[in-house]
Amino acid sequence: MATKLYWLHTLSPTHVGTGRGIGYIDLPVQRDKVTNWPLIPGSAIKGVWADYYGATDKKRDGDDEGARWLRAAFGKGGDDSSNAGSLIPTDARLVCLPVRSFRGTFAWCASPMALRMLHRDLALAGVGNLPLIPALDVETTVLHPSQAASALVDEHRIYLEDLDFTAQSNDEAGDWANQIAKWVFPGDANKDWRTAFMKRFAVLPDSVFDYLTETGTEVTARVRIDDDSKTVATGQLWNEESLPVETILAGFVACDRVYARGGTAINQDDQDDVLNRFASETMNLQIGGKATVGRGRVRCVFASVKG
Amino acid sequence: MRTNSQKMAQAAYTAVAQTFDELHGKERDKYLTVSRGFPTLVHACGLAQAVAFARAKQNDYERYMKDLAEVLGAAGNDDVATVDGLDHASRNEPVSGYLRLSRTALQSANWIKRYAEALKED
Repeated sequence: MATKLYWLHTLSPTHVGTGRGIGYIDLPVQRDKVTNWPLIPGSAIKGVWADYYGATDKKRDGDDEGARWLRAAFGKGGDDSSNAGSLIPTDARLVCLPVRSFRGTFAWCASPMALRMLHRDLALAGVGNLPLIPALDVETTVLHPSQAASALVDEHRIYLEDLDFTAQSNDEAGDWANQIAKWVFPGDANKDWRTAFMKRFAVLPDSVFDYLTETGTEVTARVRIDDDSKTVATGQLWNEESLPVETILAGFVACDRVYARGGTAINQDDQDDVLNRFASETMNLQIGGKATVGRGRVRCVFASVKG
Repeated sequence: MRTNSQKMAQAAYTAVAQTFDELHGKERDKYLTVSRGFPTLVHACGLAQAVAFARAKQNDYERYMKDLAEVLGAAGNDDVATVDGLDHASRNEPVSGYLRLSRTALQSANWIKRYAEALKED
């Protein structure tokens, strides 16, 4: 099965919610059941991805070459001639959480476990020469790349939110920062961002990362104003949770065989073509809810899993 | 054996019911507002800052903080079962203890919020 890696980089707070929450956040974001880290499900991506390529029902119904590709990539509805699309995005899992920093404005924070899970997924998809997982078993230490002058360090200390850590430079952290920067910020146009990422990458202890994935999200109080009184309508105050700006998540998109009407399969060459057509250029998408208040602006960057 | 959630729920129910027996009108509304806002305050600012803020606004938060400390104590955190203990611990715990205390405080505050909203009309 042809596969590509995709990265999501949030450019505005992003709310892919679960409906009503029972905690102090009325509208929480979706989270992984096991790790409790926020995620963006593949189902939230597939529709806006199709929309980016203008895959309306009308366009998919056409007889031209473009319509054939749209049907192959994103599928087609209807009772007697429907087929699922061949593009299968997995859930995008959290890799780097942005956390407020006393120096350097904010840090792009990962953890050994987040990198280990990313490493496993990348290796299974066929990515070779991956960096080693940095060892970090001291709860009061944060690793930063040894290959770049960290923007976060202040006299051997790193201050994130209201937590203070001992800063320690680390080669593996630098290798990961370098690799992730190349994937998320490719090309000459993003050179400055690659440098900014290297300077702000940090590997946190697992327990601290877990904590910040719970409390480091953006929670916004919203109200509905009563038309007559011009004050908050009774009971119309609620809290919404969003992934903060600069969050980085990763997932995979596979292109599977699709049986269209009559049992015609898309062959291997077509799978690569579908990926090349629809999973190559960087897309600026709107993902999740609350679009009318500017939520969910996301960069989606694709990367090859070969070499 | 009871879960920590059960212990917190029982303590929160008892504390809020007692508070609402004693507070009425605007005082009760104020307590309800504080119980709705405090968990978000911890989320946004961290436990140490939230507790310090609550102590600075003593009149509005005094009863709420007493109840919060009681719920924390009921979940087995004897050292933070009083407001002074909670204040001290939030400033002095090492990182691992602080993270655990923050999480437990958020859970406790959640239970108080739920029961304050459930019992507000009684």
